Amino acid sequence: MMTSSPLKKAFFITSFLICLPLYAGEGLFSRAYTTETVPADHFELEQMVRNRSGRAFGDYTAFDFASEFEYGVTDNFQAAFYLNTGYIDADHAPDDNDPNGETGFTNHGFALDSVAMELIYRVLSPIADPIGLAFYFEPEYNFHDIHNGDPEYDSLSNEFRVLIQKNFLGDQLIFVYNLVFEMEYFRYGYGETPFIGELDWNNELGLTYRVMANWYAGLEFRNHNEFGNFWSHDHSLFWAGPAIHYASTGLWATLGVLREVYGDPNGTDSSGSFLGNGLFLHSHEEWETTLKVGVPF
Amino acid sequence: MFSPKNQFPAAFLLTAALPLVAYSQVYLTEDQALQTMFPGEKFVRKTVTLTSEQIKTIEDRADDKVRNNPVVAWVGDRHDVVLLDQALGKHEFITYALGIDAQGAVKDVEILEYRETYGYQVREVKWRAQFVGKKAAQPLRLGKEIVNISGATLSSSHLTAGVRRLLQTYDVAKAQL
Repeated sequence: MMTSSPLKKAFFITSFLICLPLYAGEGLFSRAYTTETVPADHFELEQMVRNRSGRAFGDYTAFDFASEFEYGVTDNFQAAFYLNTGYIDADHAPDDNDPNGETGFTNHGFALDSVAMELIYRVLSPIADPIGLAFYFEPEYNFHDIHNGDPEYDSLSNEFRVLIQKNFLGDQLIFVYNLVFEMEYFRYGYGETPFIGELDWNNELGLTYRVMANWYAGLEFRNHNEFGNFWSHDHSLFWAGPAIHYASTGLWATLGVLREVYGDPNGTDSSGSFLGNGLFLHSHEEWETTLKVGVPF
Repeated sequence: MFSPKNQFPAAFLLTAALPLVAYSQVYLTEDQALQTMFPGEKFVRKTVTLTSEQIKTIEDRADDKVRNNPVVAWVGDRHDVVLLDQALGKHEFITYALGIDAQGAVKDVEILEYRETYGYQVREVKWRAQFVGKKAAQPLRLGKEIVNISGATLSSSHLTAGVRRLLQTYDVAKAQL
């Protein structure tokens, strides 16, 4: 188990931020996608750093790092490859897969979380057509659970998105909506260890305005609904927060903060374990801060 | 449990080593644009301040917002006119010039400065040639009279709207030129 010191953490985080880690596909928001695709024969490199922190009890902070290479196959179809890594720093924090029950789990360290592909096909352009429409598919092979850092075995997930975008005020005000379904099939051991099925149904909204050349400022909303065994409702969460986007030729960056504003269930669960005041902080966090930096070529 | 291998330094070094590229490009000065469009003609620079009524007329006819007032115009000794303008690009503004001959028809469209990541195809002669001969009374729509450039949709859309608006500006304010 990796030991962690504040100095080491600071160096780790600062290193990633200073080197302008590279990520792709000019994202205006933390989570929600626009219908924009990379033009044919161009590519982008993109790096995302996301901090998640604040669970119902104990100390919990995690960093997700997503490195992406994105290529425009045609003007309306792009393919991407992701390498996802993560750092977790948890002391006696709650989680779904917590062998210690109410005492919380403890885990510190960095690991390879997953590899994934991302395919986006745009059907309608928000500029040339009355509304933008695109379809997104992301198959992912998982090595570790980003929520608790535990290793997963032969675990797969498939994420589908319907991306909708509407531009207003001469393309200066941009609204996006993403309907997201993610099916996960994972297990925490080899051999006879049974697989666990899970369905995530998410709704993501974004609204941003071009406040001046190169700069957008906006708001983002996210709703996450999780169903165990693909049908049994487990929890529903709502986040909201601002997103700022800067872009010029050769570089773009987005900084967004989302705060959980409501969670269900909340309070205490049937076993008396604290979940959060009006929030569900058992296996999700109150805060997440996302920085994306992209370099187009 | 979590296996804390230090895989991050390799990714860190790889991403840090990748270069940042800049694309900013100035293609023509104002004088060069004038001589490209109307070789040998002598021009005088004017600024025309539009009234609120004129702005409303232009915006209604062109379905595009007037961003710059006063309007910068070069008036030639053969009564040709060049209007300078900026269209909304994805990140910055696209600086361009519209050449209008003495009969009120488009002679040429020239891109003076383009600082976007993508969409450089709007500089291609073949695309800009679609505007030649158009007058204020004629429709000028992307996907109709003007072919959209897939992969440069935003730039071609806003440049088309810009030319449409400048033709209306010329029509409404020609007495002031």
